[in-house]
Amino acid sequence: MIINKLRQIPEFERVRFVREFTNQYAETPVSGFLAAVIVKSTELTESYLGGESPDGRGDLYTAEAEIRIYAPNGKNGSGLSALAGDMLAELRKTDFPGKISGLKAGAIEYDQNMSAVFRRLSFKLEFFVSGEDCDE
Amino acid sequence: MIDKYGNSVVIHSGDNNVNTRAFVEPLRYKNKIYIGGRKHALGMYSSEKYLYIGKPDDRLVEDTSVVECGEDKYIVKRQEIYRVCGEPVYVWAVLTRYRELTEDEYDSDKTSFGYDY
Repeated sequence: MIINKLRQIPEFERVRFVREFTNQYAETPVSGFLAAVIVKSTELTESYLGGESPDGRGDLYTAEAEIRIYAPNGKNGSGLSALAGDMLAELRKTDFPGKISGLKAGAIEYDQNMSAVFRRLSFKLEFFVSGEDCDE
Repeated sequence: MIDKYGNSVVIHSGDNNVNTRAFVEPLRYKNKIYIGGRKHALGMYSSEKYLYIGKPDDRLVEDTSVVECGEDKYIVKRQEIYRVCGEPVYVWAVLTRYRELTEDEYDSDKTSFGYDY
């Protein structure tokens, strides 16, 4: 849902989003902005299945996520930092079920295999899964 | 010798396409460290490397020139001119597999605890 909302924003039309570690071969070399969506961990923070919570019966989860944005090295990663900043700003204000915290953008790094530069946007996401969904 | 025994290749450099001849062969290493693909955040990538020997007039651009040989495509990672007595004799290059454009195919995963990221 977060990524789908980001994709609808005009500033990010030039960004292609992919899931982490797919079985498809990655384009070589990287020819434009590519963003890999990575869920590093998901933790059950609180379980309300047997009790009450402000959101009803269900489980509260905390996920650590990362969006890794790649740009071709040949253009010195032109626009990469601006794109990362814009994406951070959007993640702060995006309206969706859940709470985003710990937003952080890493330094520019170089990936020799892909001949690309990249930055990591990491954040924590708290979301509630209702008891009805768990029963499915 | 390249004209006589080389393979037919097409060198794509930007808008320029050059039909020429060259040798393209897999690099062989004793410890076979280049066998198999590797996982990367953006997907799979091949670590295999290929040796290119071509005519000195056919210049290659690193990370830009694509060498098409038969049904295979390669991207130039490194290229050097081999000279004898100051005269260019051949182009030596290391190539890796060229992979086509990655399409945006992100689908949220609704099976992860009922929440799509």
